[in-house]
Amino acid sequence: MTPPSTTAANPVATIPAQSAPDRRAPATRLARLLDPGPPTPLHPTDDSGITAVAGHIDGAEVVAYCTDATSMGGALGAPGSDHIIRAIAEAERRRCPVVGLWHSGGAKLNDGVASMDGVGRMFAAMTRASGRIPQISVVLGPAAGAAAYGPALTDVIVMSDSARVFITGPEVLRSVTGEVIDMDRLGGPVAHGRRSGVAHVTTGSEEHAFTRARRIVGLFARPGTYDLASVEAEGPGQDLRALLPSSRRRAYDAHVLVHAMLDRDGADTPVFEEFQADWARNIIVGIGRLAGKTVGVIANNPFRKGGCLDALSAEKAARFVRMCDSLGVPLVVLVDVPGYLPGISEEWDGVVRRGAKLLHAFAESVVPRVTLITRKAYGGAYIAMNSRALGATTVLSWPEAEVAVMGPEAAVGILHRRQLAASPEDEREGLHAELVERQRRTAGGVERAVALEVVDEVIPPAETRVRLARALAAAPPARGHHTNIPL
Amino acid sequence: MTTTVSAVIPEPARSTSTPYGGPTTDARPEEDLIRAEIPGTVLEVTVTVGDRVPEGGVVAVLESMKMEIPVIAESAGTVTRVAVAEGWTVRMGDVVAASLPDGAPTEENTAHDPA
Repeated sequence: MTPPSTTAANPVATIPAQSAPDRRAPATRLARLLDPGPPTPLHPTDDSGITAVAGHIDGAEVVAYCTDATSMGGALGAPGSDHIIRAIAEAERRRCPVVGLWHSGGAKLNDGVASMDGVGRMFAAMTRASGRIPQISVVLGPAAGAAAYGPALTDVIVMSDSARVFITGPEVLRSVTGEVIDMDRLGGPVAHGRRSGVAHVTTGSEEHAFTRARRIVGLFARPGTYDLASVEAEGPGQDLRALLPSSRRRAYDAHVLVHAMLDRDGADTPVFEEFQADWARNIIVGIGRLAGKTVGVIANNPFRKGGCLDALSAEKAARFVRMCDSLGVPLVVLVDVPGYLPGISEEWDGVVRRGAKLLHAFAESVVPRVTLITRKAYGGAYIAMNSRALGATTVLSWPEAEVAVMGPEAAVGILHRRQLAASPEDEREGLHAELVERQRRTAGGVERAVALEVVDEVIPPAETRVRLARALAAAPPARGHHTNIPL
Repeated sequence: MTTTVSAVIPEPARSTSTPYGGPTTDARPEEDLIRAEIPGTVLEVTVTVGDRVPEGGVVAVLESMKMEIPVIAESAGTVTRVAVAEGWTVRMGDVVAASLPDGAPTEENTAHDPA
């Protein structure tokens, strides 16, 4: 037996081969996803290749289905698709999340168009349910073709280290395009965690994948209620601004801020499930808990590209906003953004088209959504990050944050260019500093933003948790009436 | 021991008032190239050849968008070359440094403890 890998959470038990249940069997996989105890089957046992059940995760009701990887590589025919369609309908009826466990080569070749038709009807069912109930996919092996688009239509995709997702596999690639690549590099967790952004969560072992899926489902299935008393009873909070570098120019990892802001579990770990953590890292998105309530968090990350918005990060955030809005998950938006990333490649990659998605997503959104400007918000990026103009519920700010069309140095360089050029060289630096200071005071200081009512209130950083929670709790709950199209 | 590690020297043929860090074309296949994610000016190079960097470690600091932005190593390894110097301008995607990921086969592993 191969020794357990160092990334496995649990040691592999050595079981004699002949008595080991096939760990890929749907019953086994479903048992590891769900709470202990027999789940309720949603259909009689058959050879459709799909098992669909109703069960629980952490006591919350869920529906789950699993492809049978032990039979024909989990290929999906019309009967199997019908089970998935009925499972989704059952989840909608119960108003609970539905989880798909995927390990499948795609549509059953032998059944021809019938299986493609079934798969297509499954896609339609997922789309109709989109935004009505949370749909989570856990990919545990190859998931090709139809089995890739299934998860792609759901809200969250978790990939274990054995997951391989692609439309066209290595064999066909080799013969048609001449490209040679193995399944792992083509469609494994690194490909989809880092390059494509297809995977929201990549994990090590299958066990890890189930653990993460359970946590994510738990946050959706139990959105909780605001417990302001408990947050207020925490007393004077940590000065969150002290977590940032003292120099305004220095980048920092915004994860530190996100973690400090959210509730902690029994093991003193922040309750935060980040999505697409290794892709478009200049923005952080994920769900967590604040004052007992499930919230979505969006935060610019200055550590990456200075926290600039760009085509990919805007798209990543836009999809997350719409997912939360459609499922009624309130949003906390932490803003520290210098602008959009300049560059020809950005323009040609469609920062205009993809950036517009973020503007649209926020403007369309009706969930409670509170913005906190921590250090700065400049220009178009200020608008895009859940500004007052786009309908933010509340806009808070830390003291000395800057809200401006551009930073004071850049502004001075434009507004006072002639004056500076005309000044004696030995006085220029001093003049520049003075002009920058004046610009910062008059144009960019947060006081001006408050006067214009684009910032509602300046708050002490130590009160961040309680003020965010209060602002969210005060807003009437609302939920967008739209699907979560996979942007 | 053959010296396959080298610090890149600015090429005289490309000299302008601000030298550019160009992409290195002779990377060994097992080397990781650490690239700038954003255009900017090199404020500081924080590693030298032979240093170990952890995953997420900073190899240089760029100035861009009026901020000091780190250039980060994606995987743990040993720095095999530094492609820029303080004051250089880099474009997005330019190679800043290269490292040999931990575990990659090399004769030079003897120089450092594979921690």
